[in-house]
Amino acid sequence: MTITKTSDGRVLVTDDEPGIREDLADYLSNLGYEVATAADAAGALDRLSQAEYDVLLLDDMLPDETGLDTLPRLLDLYPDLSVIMMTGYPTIKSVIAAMRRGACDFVVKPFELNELKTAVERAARRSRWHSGRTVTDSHRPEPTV
Amino acid sequence: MEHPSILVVDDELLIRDLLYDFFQGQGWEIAVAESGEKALEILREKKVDVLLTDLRMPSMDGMVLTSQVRREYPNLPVVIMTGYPSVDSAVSALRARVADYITKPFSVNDLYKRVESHLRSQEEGTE
Repeated sequence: MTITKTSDGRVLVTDDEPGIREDLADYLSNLGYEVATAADAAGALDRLSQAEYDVLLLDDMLPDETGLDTLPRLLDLYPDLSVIMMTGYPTIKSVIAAMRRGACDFVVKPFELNELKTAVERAARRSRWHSGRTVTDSHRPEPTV
Repeated sequence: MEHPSILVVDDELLIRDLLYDFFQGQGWEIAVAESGEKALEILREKKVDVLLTDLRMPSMDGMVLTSQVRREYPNLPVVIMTGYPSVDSAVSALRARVADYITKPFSVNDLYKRVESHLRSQEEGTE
């Protein structure tokens, strides 16, 4: 199926820190993504039940449940979703857990915005590939961050 | 899969021997290589169901081997084992879509369970 769309993909940013949510949402919107935000795991599940997303940016330290604990449940419900784990406290164990639970990427805070941009692009491509969709959009705004 | 095949890549003879005996005892077909270069030669010659590779090896290391394998055999599950784990190398492995990242020392039985589960997932995915 070929779809024509007006953005580079839909991204859900889940982080309990409002400043991070807003900064990431602004940055990704400027890159051409449609962005929604959630402050916790329940909020993310709620958002995902209401609309289709290509990429989920998922902080590990959420107030209601860790991102890593939420991850398998999310992917059971939305197997085509590409999940990028984010954490300020990375351990080898947490990266391995993310890998085994199906995350497609792992970014360590604080990160360079360019690193995030690359990760989201890769994740969006993966998601489209998994769902068998082709994107035909030619207007990609220049990043303005 | 009746007789799955595994390629074990490690520059340490002791590990190669240990895994050779173990997987053979489980009825697997096993090939071993002491370097990434040798592993690529073997992959070109015979069918392999799972690749198990050490990370730190002289000349071609496990990540370089993995990248090459990803290009040439995109569906081959790769399991990394390392005695020098780090967040950076685990993240690189995740991004390279390896099936697993196992730290040394490991229990051979645990390793076997993980390798077997990835092989099963691969089979289910291709059915």
